[in-house]
Amino acid sequence: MNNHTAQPFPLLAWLLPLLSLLLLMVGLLAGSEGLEWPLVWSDNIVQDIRLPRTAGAWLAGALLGLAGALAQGLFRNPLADPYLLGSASGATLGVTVALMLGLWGGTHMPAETTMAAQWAWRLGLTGCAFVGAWLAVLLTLLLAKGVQHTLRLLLAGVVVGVVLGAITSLLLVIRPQMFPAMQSFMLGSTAMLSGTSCGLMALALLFCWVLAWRLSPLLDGLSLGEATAQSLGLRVAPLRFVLLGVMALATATAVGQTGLIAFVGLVAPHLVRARVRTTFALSAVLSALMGGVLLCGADILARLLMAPQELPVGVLTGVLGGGYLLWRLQSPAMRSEYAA
Amino acid sequence: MNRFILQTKSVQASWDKTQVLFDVSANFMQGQWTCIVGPNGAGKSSLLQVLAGLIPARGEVLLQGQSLHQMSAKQRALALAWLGQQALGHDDLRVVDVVMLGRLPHQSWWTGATDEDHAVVEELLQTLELIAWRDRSLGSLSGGERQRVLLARALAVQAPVLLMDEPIANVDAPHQADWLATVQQLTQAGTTVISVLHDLNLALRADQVLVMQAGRVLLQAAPGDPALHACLQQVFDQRLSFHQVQRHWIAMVA
Repeated sequence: MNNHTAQPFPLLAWLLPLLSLLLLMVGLLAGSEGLEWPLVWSDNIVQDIRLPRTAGAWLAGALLGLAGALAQGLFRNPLADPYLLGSASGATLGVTVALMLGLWGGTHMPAETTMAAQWAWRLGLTGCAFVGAWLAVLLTLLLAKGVQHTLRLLLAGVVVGVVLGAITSLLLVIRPQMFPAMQSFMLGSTAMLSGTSCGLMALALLFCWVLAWRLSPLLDGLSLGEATAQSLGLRVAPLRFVLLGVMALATATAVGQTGLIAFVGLVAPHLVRARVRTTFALSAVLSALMGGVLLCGADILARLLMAPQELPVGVLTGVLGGGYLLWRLQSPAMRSEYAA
Repeated sequence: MNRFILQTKSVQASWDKTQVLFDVSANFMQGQWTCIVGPNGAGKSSLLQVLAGLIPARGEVLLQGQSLHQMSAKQRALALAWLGQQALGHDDLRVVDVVMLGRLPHQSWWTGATDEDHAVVEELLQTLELIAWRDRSLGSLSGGERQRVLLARALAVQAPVLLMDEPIANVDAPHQADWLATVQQLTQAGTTVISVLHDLNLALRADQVLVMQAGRVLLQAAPGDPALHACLQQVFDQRLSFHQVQRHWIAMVA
């Protein structure tokens, strides 16, 4: 009986996992001299560097894609993304403050260290990024006096992002010795990824995914207006608060490992919505998969385009993502969507 | 036995520090359709939102004799279905997904839609002739089509009380007639319907008409009651005349 009522499984739901596997394979082959065939699995470079980097890029992209889908669903605005709401800037400031105060061993994780110490270092940085992201979102909501007025919300997010970015820059001027460590972080880089960061991101992704999945009826209900959501018995205020926390956690975990990577959180849900119109539960899963594919693909490109030199992946996603959105803005469908 | 399924007693409500309802007392009989009418800014939508428990109010709102504010969100959602004024905009959800949202109050936190939920939704899609748009996104429908889908969403709740704010704005004449038939079927089946309408001729088809002005209830009466006609004349600046055509009353602009 449910067969004819079941939602058709979209092509993207098959395509994106397949693309992810393919990119993972290519990522393992991509070295400083271009693609290296055949793959030597026993090679330390493959196991210790390329694998965590490729898998980590996918996981960070998935976290950003999920955070973007949450932001766009929560604020019912296709332009909302973790960056526009200030959470990424907040996460960066959190990491900068942690490194400046020398928490968890200073600006670099010591090379010779135990697994427990590696986890503590990564968790500490991610925790600071989370606190920064959460406070930034709260500040944005405070300045916007809630989420009802979209324009005010986005403007407040931009202001918070700029101000927190300026504070981060000021801290770097005060402590210039931190600048080299923070440079790759500010540009966005996957070079810092390790097995520990992959483990941390995988745990965060699983946690955020499950919560977003279970709380998705709120976002579906909200798409018909706050009063309708409330009339359906959904506790709008506390659920929205929890989902904001999930968004901040997803953003902070990604930013804490890879630094600022632009546009993935904004573009991934757009690419999904251009192909599939569906409930938030499925859209969030697809946005996360799309984010993983985008960042993993961009990371491989960043490694190969100017090999043996590497491009910062954040610069590449910024150029490609910005270009894509500009192109999409010219399409009639997008114009009518923003005019509505 | 108390036949009033919903009652307000001396209700006062404010919106953005401006008082919008003053000492509103009204009774709504089970299985009847009551239509709230009045000029713009009369407080009609505010009263409907108070009845739905969507905005806080002083005074008493009783649902089957029990205070609405003491009921849990889920109890309220199962008892009161709400269809609000909708702004047109983009929307990702498919028609079937939107109607399924009406089943949320029946679902527990960790289980999804049951066979019964699917059956209710499919039956409504058939009954309201929405089956052809089943897999289209809500954003791709016209204003009138969208209103019909949203009505199906409200009906999917299967609540004993249905509250509707301007449910037939943008709906064409044949589908207004369908809407009217649906409301009559619902009331015959025992559902209480309370709606806000601007169309006085449709409002005069209700069992009871409640007239509001400046946040106050002026009168609640049957459509054929001469006192109601006088009250509506007064509220609409003596610019209406009332006539009986066959069994129904109509209001004409003088």
